[in-house]
Amino acid sequence: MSISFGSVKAVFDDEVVQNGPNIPPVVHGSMRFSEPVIDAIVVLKGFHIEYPPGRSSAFFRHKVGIDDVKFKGHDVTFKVLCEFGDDQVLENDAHLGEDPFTATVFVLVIADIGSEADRQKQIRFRTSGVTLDAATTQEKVQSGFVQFVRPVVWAEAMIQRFRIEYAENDDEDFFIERVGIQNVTHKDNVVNFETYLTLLDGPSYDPGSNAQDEIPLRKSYKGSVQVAVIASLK
Amino acid sequence: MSIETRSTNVVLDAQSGKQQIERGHVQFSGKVLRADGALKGFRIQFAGDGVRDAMDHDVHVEAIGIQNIEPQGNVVKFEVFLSLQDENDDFLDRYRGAAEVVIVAQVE
Repeated sequence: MSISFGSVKAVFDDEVVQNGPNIPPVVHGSMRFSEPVIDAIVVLKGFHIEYPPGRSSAFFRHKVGIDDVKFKGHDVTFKVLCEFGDDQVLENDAHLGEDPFTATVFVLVIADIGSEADRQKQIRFRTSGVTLDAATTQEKVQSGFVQFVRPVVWAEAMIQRFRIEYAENDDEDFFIERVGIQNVTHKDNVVNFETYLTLLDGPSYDPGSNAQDEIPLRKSYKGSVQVAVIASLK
Repeated sequence: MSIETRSTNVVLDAQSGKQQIERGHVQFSGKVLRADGALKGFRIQFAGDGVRDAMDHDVHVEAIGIQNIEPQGNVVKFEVFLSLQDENDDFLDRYRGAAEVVIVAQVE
């Protein structure tokens, strides 16, 4: 009857990334807890993605996070996803097994453990996916919510996974990437939040212009954020 | 013993080089027995003093996250790491970013 948590590191080596055509890179992760797991969320702690020495690539899609979270007995199992590359690698959702990179994805597993009869009555988890349609705006914001069984005392939100990409199946250079959750509020038994994305390639500055004053508004991009919410209930 | 969360934003100023580290901390209502962290959001961008530095690039390395999370009394200290490199330029390009971090703690 308690909340327990721990970290896991998923390594995407050449073998995982170059798995073959139409097989996106996936690492299966797990964590064993000291007591049976009643509920669990797995969230993103960080990532490090790197092309081989001497190689850089244009940017098309970036997808990192956790999917297919399950728990049975003392174990929480999940899939860690990592896609990163240009459209030659990821064309039409088909992973072509080219353009190798290596990556490490760091995840945090939070579990409610114990017997169902003694279930942690206060802390509960929910997840929700938010899709942000293609647009060229500097920032895309889309609201979402999750509902609990009782009024919420406090709540916090974390990234379970995200996907961000240029919308026209076209490689671009990289200038800025923003992904996250903001304005997490609660009223009664509902937690509201906003997800945000930004993906911009660089502006073409005129000689002598002030780069700080110019905001690039160029290519259409889209994405999604899977949000994990932890809340304390009355 | 209870579970508490705190969130905070850590900003990493424009620098060049292979990786930046910035320390942060959050305070809890009691002594922290265990703590860990996750990302609520992040921003990564090329940036610099001049017009050229603020332009777009190919990418060689992209990294951001939270590490070395250590409880010390009522406080949890941690580090945010950030890297954004276009190897064509020998790591000379400046980049900056920020991480919105959530710390989850077991509090006495």
